[in-house]
Amino acid sequence: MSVKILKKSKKRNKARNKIHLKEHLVSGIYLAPSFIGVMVFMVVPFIVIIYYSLVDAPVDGKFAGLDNFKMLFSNDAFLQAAKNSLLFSAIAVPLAVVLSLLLAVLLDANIPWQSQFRTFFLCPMMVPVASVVLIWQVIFNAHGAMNSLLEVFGFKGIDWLKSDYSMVVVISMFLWKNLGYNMILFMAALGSVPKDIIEVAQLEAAGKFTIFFRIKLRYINSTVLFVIILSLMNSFKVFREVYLLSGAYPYESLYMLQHFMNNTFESLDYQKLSSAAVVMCVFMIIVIGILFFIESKAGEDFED
Amino acid sequence: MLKSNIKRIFAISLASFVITIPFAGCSKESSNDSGKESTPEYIYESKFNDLGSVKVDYVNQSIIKDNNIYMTGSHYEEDKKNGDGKSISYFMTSSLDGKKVEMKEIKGLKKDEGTDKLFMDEDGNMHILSSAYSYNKKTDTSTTKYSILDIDKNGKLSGRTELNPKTKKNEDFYLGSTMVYINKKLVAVSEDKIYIFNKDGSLAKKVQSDDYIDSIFRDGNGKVYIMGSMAKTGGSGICELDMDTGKLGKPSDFGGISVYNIRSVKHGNGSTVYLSNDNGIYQCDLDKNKMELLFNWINVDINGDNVSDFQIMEDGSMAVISTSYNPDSSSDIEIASINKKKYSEVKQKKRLTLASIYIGQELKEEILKYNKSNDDYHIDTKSYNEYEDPQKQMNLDIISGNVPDIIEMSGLSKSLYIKKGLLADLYSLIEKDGEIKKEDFVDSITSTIEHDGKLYYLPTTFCINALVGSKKFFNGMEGWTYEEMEEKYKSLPEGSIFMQGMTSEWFIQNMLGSQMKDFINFETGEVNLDSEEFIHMLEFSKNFQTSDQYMKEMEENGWQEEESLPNLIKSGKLLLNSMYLYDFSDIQVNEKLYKSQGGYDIISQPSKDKNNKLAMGGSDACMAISEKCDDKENAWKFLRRLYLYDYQKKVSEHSGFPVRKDVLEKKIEYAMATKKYKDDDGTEVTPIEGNTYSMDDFTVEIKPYTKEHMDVFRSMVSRIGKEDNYDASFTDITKIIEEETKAFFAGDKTAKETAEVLQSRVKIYVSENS
Repeated sequence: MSVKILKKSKKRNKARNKIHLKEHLVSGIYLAPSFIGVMVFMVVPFIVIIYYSLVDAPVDGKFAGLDNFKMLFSNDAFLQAAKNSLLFSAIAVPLAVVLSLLLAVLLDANIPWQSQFRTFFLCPMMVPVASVVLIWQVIFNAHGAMNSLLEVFGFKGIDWLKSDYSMVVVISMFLWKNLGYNMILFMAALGSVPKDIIEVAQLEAAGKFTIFFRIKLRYINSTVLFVIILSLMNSFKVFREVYLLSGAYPYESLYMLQHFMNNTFESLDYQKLSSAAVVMCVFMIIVIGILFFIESKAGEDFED
Repeated sequence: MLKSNIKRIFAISLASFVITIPFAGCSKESSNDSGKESTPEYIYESKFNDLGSVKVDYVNQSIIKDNNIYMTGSHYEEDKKNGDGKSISYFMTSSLDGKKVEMKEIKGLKKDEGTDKLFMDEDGNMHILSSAYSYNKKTDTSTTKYSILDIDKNGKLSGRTELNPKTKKNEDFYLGSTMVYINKKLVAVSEDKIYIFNKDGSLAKKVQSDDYIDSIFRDGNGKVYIMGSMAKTGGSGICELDMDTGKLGKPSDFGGISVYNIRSVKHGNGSTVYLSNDNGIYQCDLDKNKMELLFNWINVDINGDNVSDFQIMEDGSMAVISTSYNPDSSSDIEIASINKKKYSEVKQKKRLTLASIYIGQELKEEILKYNKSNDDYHIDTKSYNEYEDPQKQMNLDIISGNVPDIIEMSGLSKSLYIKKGLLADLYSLIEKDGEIKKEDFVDSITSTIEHDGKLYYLPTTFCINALVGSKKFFNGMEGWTYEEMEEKYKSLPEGSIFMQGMTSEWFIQNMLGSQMKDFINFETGEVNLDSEEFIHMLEFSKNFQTSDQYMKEMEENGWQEEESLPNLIKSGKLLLNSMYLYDFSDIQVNEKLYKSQGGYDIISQPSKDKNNKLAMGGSDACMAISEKCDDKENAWKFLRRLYLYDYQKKVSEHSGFPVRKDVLEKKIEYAMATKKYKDDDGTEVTPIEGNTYSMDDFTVEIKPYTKEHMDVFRSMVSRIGKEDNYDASFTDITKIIEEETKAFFAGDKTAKETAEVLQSRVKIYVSENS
């Protein structure tokens, strides 16, 4: 009897497996176009980049092992660019997250003129970068509005774009451009926090700060992670503004990783370009991995 | 748990790829292993018919009709008794497969009237556009009157219509080389204006364009278009002309391909037109906004500079008329029939590609000679002068696998290509040559351009860049430091100038260009733009006007210097004069200019180590073979022709000094000849006479050179020790310097502040490229 049951069960499993296989095949066919697209336009070119990083010349190069990476890490321009990019991201990303969260909390508190306030912060998103850069150049020019203001208060004018203060200009531009979007994301996340939990907390005499840090922030931690990743991605795209402000070879404190990559591309230095791209990729994997890990730990009690 | 971690890692990696891809860019794989473009499906093949010589100085545009060619040309006949002369216009005919050209003088032209263009109207009748130039001494004005003359196939004029453009007083009116006859109206262009004339010559309409118009043409549908420079885009563009309203349509830029100096336009079917210039023939689809180069003249064995016209035949082939001028005042006429054939149907020659920004006249002719005489190999050319950034476009082609076999390096970054291992060592090919040897070349030239004992490129000619100063002042000095330069300048009398035309910007560029290694070392990555020397140099440059100030002053002075160069030198108020020696004449000119100063000294640019090296510059062509070339031996077989005795002799007549020692010695010998003789190689040598050099009230008659003159020259050649550094790196660095020094010259920043910013920016550049 048990043998019969076993045989029947095996047959059922086989049939089930066949159905699963068929389902997987059908799903695979539907997914294939997207998968092929991702492979051809993203994965394969990246593999080509890895290849370039391991050869010694862009045309018919010989295998060079890690020589390109050694050369890269001894290149002053790369080290300067990496330092500037890290510094910029380390300052700008936390500022972008914290300030936009504060703005979202403010708007969530039903202040007067809430709609106008929101529009004011969203406007920079709609403006093309190239048309706005000119205004920033005028403001931060050696004879611009900012220096005029400083002189009114008795301070000496600063060469904003050609001194160590240039990072201040770029961080300001970055925040001005990105706060609005992050704020909207946080507002949506704050709106989705269950009201009943907050009511319960209020009934139990929890203060506003306790409610915010212990309940709301924990609930929106996935949005916080998303905003951090998004801001991190956008922090690398700031090359666009810097390039328009000061060209391919700016003052050293404005020289970012993408300047390095852009310029090495134009000068046929594919080895430096490719090895820099691979290094960046590895760095990003580590950073995002750490962020995901933190998020998974922080959101454990909610997932449970 | 494990499964979810694996999924998580995969997701993270994929997300990272997505983030990082924008920085890395994409690269496509090479189309084939040899790194060349894949073989084309079609190829253009030429067959030639030589019509012999005709006694005309040049041939105007021509018409092909009913398998006959009709041309006009003119010949200037000098009356040796009176010293006067007159231009005679001729009408010429031949059949396409004929062997001879029939010539007939065009009778019925007015005094001083010449034939400009021969064209055909919609009904197939031939007309000549003629022009008569007149100058009014009283009013100091000149006018050009245009007429349309009717001419039959026998060369007889049968009618005349004068064009009346209704120009205002002092308005220029000069008709371009292209015009259109449509709906019984003649449409012509003059700079930025379009004139539409009625059949009786009266002006029907005048259209003003915002930009300069290069040409006007029509398509197969009867629509009229203009082509010209578009100030907004910076390239060339085509827009439609509405004949009824006179309005111009929106310009199309055809993907950024700029085509200039259009000589002739022929329409095909529908919206297709064919345009020719000295580069080749372009097919343009006006409706689809597409333009492509059908073929390059050299690739079909035709010298583009000699093409006077072309025609699309009924069978789809093209007939091309070329005329080349001979020193005996005659012109050779040749017709080429160009057919499009399948690559597989044409006897295949092995093709070698020669890439250049611009291919000079002499090199072009040599390529054509080689192609016509060689049954096994053909040099195809690719010219990059139509791209906005030729260096970048060539780099992109190289990266994508389209590496040329031979590269003409003028204007390209030699150091970049050497660093990337893209150039072959020419010494290895010279060693195997047997006829040409390393010792054949001028020693100082080869030692200057060698890199680690290898020769990656070799110019065909050279010039010498130096500074000249009075012997009284320099007393035999050949090299000097920056401090000595300043001291010398300060010790000059009141009102003296450093160098005529010197500006602040030019001073910095000049100093940096010739002595860059004093401040920037690409090999070690060292940059010393914040050094005391450079700061001092910046401060010193403030002694000169800025370029803007200088240009403004020149404009106010009617483009004349305040004091002439000869007077400045005579009065001892000029520290330096520049000498760009591409022929010997400057040696005699400076000898006379500095006679009152006891003669002159040749000085190098100031430098830290006080070296006396002179810079080698400017060349007819600078040739290299790509390391990627599959057939270096045969590439060298072409290249070596440029370094043989005959070619070196020919090219150095106009473009600097030859790099071959024996040809250079011959050039010296001929320049020193005091009587007529025939040389061993058959050259008729005549002493130099009748050449004068004038500047304001100063004139020098160039006479046969003496041994002393040639000793000066030989000394200059032996002192060559560097190249004029005008490659891409120099351009990038001078661009940075120009940007930063603006504030300094305007007085907004000190020299030290400027130097610090320059140090920061240039250091980044050098670190990146070292």
